[in-house]
Amino acid sequence: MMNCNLARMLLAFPHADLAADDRDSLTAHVAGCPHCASVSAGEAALHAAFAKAMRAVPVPADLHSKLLREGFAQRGARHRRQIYQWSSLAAGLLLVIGLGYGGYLRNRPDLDTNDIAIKTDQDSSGPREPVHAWLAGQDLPSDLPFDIDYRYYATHGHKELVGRDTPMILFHGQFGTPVIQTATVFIVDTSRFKIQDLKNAQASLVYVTVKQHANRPDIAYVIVSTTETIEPFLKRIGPAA
Amino acid sequence: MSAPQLGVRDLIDTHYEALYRYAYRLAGNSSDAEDLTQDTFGKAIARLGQLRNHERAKPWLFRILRNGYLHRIRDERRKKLIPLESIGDLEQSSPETPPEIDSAALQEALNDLDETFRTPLILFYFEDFSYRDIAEQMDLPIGTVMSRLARAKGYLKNRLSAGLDPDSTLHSPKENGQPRA
Repeated sequence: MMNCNLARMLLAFPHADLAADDRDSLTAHVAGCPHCASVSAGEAALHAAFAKAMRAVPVPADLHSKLLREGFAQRGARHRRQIYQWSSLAAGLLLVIGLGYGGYLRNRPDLDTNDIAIKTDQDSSGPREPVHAWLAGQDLPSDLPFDIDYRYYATHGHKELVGRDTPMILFHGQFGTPVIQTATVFIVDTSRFKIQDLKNAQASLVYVTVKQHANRPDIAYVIVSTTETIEPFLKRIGPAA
Repeated sequence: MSAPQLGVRDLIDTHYEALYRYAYRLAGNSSDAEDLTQDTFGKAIARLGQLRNHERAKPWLFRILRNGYLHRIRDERRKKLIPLESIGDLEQSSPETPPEIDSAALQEALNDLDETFRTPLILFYFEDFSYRDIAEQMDLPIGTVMSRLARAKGYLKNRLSAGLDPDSTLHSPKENGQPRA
């Protein structure tokens, strides 16, 4: 039950967030109590008077424009600062990229067509290196006494020649005809054969060509081929046949 | 998704009058009020990105302004204030028809109030501020805000409607009982 003391206490705090029950009780009490009604009216009038006086502050006429001017100037300066910061960052990045790209440009290799030709030649010359290594491993000269085109290479190994296992390298090619031409290069030495009287020979379909090694008189090359000479198997300018 | 940032013009257009009046009532003169208002918008514009809820712009600005004001008066506090006990507790008898309150006289009365009483009083009469809003502004419990308001209102009533003893000024609670400066 609301009494005058409690009612006046609550009336001293207008706009307080009262519970619905309390608000109803206060309203009912004020309606039935002339003295509290007078206090309530007085509080309301005083509140209105104070509020009116509190807000009665003339605002300088130029304040709005001054604030806008300074506000936009500040925002502009802030934007410029941000743009400067981003620009500095972008310039830094560009510098780093530029330096990197400059270094990249400086380190570009010279393009040498001779190197390209040699490298391509080596890449397309077949198993020249493994064959030469195989020959060197048998204490034989690693290179052959003629510049054979290893694109015609077929195989290498030992093959019986006059009852002796003899190192040989087999090449084959077509050279524009339907018949496959072959050339078997036997590497013979004095430990296996008497080679001092070797000479060229031929039969109906086979030609035998003998070549001495320039620096190794104990080594000779016996080329058994279906072509008259080994010429078709040698390197030349242009594609392999 | 974040709300679009409040524009500088919107912020100023909407709040500059209330902010200036608050500053005036706090500082007591137009020069300081203008400076405070400008400083407040300067700080607010610099931190505008931090304001996530545009509806909170007003209390946010008022809080910035009060902090700026407190910073300014840090060394000036505790002057010309008189003891709180010179003011009675809740004044209950209000005239039904109060006298017209003069704005300048109100300001004089406010100037003599300690800031801890003056701020809730000013905010309270800027209608939009509830007890809860004031409590948030001042980092105080609502009960403390209501108590300070009741005492400050009692002081104003006595000062403005009764012939008014100019020495009846409120101190902050910490200064209760201290001799007058």
